[in-house]
Amino acid sequence: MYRLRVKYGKYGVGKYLSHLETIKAIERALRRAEIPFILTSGFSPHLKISFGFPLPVGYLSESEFFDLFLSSPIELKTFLNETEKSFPAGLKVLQAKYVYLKGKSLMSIPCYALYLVKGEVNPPFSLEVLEEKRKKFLSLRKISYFYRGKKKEVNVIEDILSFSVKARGEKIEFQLLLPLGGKRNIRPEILIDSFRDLFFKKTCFKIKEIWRKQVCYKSNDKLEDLLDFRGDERFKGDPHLN
Amino acid sequence: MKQIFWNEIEDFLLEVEKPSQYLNNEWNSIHKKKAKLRMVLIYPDLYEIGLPNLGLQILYHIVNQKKEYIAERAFAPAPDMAKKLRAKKISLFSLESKSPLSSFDILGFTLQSELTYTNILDILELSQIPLYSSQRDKSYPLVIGGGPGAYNPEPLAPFFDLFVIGDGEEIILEICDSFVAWKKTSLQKADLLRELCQIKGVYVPSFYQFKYKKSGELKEIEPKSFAPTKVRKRVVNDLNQVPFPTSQIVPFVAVVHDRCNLEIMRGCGRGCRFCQAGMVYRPIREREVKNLKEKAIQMLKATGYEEIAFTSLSTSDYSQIETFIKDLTNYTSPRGISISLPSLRLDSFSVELANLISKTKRTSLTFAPEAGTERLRKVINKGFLEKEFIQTVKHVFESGWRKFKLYFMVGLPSETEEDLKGIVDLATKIIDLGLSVIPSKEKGMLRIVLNVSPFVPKPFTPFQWCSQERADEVLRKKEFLREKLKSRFINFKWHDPFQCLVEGVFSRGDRRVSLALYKAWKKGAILDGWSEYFNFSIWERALKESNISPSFYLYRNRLKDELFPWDIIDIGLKKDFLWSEFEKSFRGESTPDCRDKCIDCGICSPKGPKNILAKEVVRREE
Ligand code: SF4
Repeated sequence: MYRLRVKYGKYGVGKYLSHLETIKAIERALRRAEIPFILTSGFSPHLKISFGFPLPVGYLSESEFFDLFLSSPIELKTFLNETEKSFPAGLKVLQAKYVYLKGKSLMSIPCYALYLVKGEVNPPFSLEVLEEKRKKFLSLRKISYFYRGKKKEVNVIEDILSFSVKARGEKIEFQLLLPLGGKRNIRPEILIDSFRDLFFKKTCFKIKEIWRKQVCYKSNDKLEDLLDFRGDERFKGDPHLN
Repeated sequence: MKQIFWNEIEDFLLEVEKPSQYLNNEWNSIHKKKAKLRMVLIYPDLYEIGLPNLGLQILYHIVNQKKEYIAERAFAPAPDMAKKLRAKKISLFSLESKSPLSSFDILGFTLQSELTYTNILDILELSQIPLYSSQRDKSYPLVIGGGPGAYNPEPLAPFFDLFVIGDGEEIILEICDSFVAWKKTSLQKADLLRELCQIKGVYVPSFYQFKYKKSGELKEIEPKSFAPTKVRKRVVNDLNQVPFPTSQIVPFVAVVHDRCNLEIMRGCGRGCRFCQAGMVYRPIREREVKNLKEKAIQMLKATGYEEIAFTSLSTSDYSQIETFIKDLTNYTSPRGISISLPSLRLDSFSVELANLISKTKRTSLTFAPEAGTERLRKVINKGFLEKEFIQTVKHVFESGWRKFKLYFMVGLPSETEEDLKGIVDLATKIIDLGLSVIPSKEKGMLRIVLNVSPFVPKPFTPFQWCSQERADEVLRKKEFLREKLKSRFINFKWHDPFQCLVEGVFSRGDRRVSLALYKAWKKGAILDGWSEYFNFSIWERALKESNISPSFYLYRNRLKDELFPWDIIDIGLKKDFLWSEFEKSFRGESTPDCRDKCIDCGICSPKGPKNILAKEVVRREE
């Protein structure tokens, strides 16, 4: 058995697909590509595949992941070519890499996501003002908000790894690095909404696009792309890694 | 009508539910730019119901196979989307090119159920197309309808320019060709319709005048001099000769029957007396095993689906079914693809088939006994002996199945308390049997899903002369069954008798009921097939204001020679044949499957259609 870690992107109409719809679309695309996947045993056999953290509906992404288990090693180039032909509009395989068979599952690796949020400002404001407010925002200790009727809190120093903002004319762009998955998860638009509501008028800017640009894990205090997470060193001897 | 831009729709697309149903890029959808003719095929219900419809997918591919023709698709928008479109004054659009429906040459509606008819009016209005055929000149698209609902097109007559009766594979291109020729001329819409009504299978309602007696019954149907006196159903004689789409569209959003649908045969010879499909789709036409196998594999490759269903009215009747299943499982099993058989006969053979396709997973089997006693089953010609049935059920449990889905009808002609008790009896016997056969640690898995629907008599069936059971009486029967069927093993499901009442009015309605349809829609009736949207009080008012008495259409036994609105259509079956079947039903006399013995219903002819069975295949054992 081989374990292939695949990075894919969600573009254009892809943002309207729910996580379940995405999974189904990808599984069918892998079947069309006749990839030598492994089936689970049990009552209703299905592809042995496991997906990374769900992307909320409405987000675009350049960094989604799944691990696919294969019965025979397929050349990475062939994999990319075949899936290029079989993936539907809105979904695209970007990279793939073999990883240790018995490493941690994607969802159990503590991760961080880099988001790019694009919006429109009206009326435009100066970079100085933005920068000043940004600093003020990051000097807060806690930010609280309501999510699905529940009060939640963000610990600014611990949870916001980075928060930058640029504006040009009517365009505004934020970049945020935030914890991903489980209880730690923070959605970028929540911070941006709080930022706006604290310092500006509610209507002054509007989010147009949210991109998940990269998903990383921490390795010796450095952030590395999740694609490079090979798993548990104990399984290093795995012969099928290239 | 102004062009629609995708970004206008995207502006609010994240605000509606299941936005992925409005996308234009499902796998295998076809996108063409230029053409001599643009048609939009519309299923007037939500995408999740309409997308898998095989008729629509077949026509979509046949039209698009022609280089110079385009077919796109549209569905009824969900209420939240419809509201947005109205508020923003955006027309309903086709999926592929997001064009307003009014920009197409032809709108082709699939008429599947009477309870989708208000959706048709809504779709026209959302597209700013006048509802009535008489209000549309040649600057508007030609509005045509086809599918099972077209066998009694009269309740929709004023809204449609024409109906297509019967199999659509061949006639659709004939209509397109005539349309293109006409489009080049300066002739009017009436000229086009005059030309089209000469095509076998085309019914142009405006060329026929319906006259009524004082009593309300139909007196005569008067065709214009140039129009045929009867419209004959189109039949494709040999299904192996017409295209069947293997590149079926794979939706993003979850839909009903989310799988490859392979039609293995059309028509049914069993002759159940309540079943319209069994009568109107005659004769039996099976596809060849070789052809099917090829198609099945192509389909699975082209779609990536993990399931394939063999569709037909009675799948276990396909003469080579065992060979075909065994053959195909060689391909499907190693790939983890499952096969489903949606309509199984109630016998041991079917259980064997079901066992074949699911060697490990045995969850749920579906059967339709329809009636509770042997007597009533003879009346409806769905005869099977209780003894055999119990034998079959035992076999089912012993094979490892734990869940049953059973379909019954109430309100069948001649039904008595005995027959209702029969349903309870059958269910009880199944449970007792289950409890005695199933090993104790699995007993908790035993489950019977009991679906009961009120019987609605349909045109072109032996019961077309019958009265429908009154809704209050149906409700009483429901309560009776619910009371008696209280068991932790039984899951009781029920169709709303008031939905069936509306269905019944339109099922055997004439041109006059179209007014009630219009009024009900005006008052807000929409998506009537969905119990969460169906609103009977609207219909009551609409029927009343239109001076339509539902009892006339529903609660009346017709005389033998009454002229029916649908008699304008000739489905090939003799009315005498249907009547003799009706009479036989009183006597509880059964009629054999016509594969065993032709009972001369009238459809087959030496040069025309006939029962075609698949050739026997000699299998080499691998
Ligand atoms: S004519 Fe005879 S064989 Fe043909 S469909 Fe009718 S009953 Fe069956």
